Amino acid sequence: MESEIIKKAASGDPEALTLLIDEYKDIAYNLALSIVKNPEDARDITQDSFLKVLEKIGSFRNDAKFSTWLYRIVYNQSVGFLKKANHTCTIDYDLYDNNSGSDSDSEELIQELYRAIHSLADTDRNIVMLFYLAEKSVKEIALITGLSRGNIKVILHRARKKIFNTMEHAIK
Amino acid sequence: MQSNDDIIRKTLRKNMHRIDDDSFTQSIVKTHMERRASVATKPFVNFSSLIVGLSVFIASIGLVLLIRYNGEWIYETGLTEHHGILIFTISLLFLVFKWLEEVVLSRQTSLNQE
Repeated sequence: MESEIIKKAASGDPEALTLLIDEYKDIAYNLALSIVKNPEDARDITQDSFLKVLEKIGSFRNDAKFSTWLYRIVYNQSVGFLKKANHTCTIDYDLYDNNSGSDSDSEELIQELYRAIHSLADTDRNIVMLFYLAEKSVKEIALITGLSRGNIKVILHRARKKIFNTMEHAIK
Repeated sequence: MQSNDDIIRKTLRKNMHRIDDDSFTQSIVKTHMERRASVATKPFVNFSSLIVGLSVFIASIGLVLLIRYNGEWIYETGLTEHHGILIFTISLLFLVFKWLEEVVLSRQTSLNQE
């Protein structure tokens, strides 16, 4: 199904292009946001990444998932943006959308979860976001970030332990 | 462990920021289509053909100069003006064939892009 949409998008079908962008734009934006920590920059990076991907979509082979390819570009663009701007972000951004309508019982748990994710080192947080939000496997995360699988497993293990501990405290 | 993973996954997905305005998607589609159109209409220069063409031109000038300053040997080859006309006609036919090939190729490329 997705390969059909990709084929149509490659031939310039606006409907297929819209479907493809709508499917992945939110996660791509949240990945960029977790790296650059600024909503406007994250939006620009997401837009540029889509344009880059669509420009080369004709040469896309189905040996990897489209989302992995897209997130890899988003990741590289975001990291490149930070390096280029020599950016050290001090903006108090929030990955958590407070308007998502969560009930008050789970509110504390959500707050604690996001606090735990915030407290992680940059690379650790990016890997956590790719693992949980983008639902990527260790192999795919290695493709996206260029880190070794062993390294990713260690980071994930450490980060998950930290997040689980925070969540347990919140539940108690 | 697995249930904790599920809770985190669902929580992150449910509470992530969303790009709700349609203008985001539409502006990407519009920019992409504009870029596609500009690439399709961009004049195409085949550099290998250009190099071959220039080489042939330079070689022709070399040949003309060679014949001009060493004119005698050309009579010893036994070639007549009929041979000249024949070589000229074959070259001309080849050029026309290459030109037609380019026209057909560029039409097919533009049809595929549509």
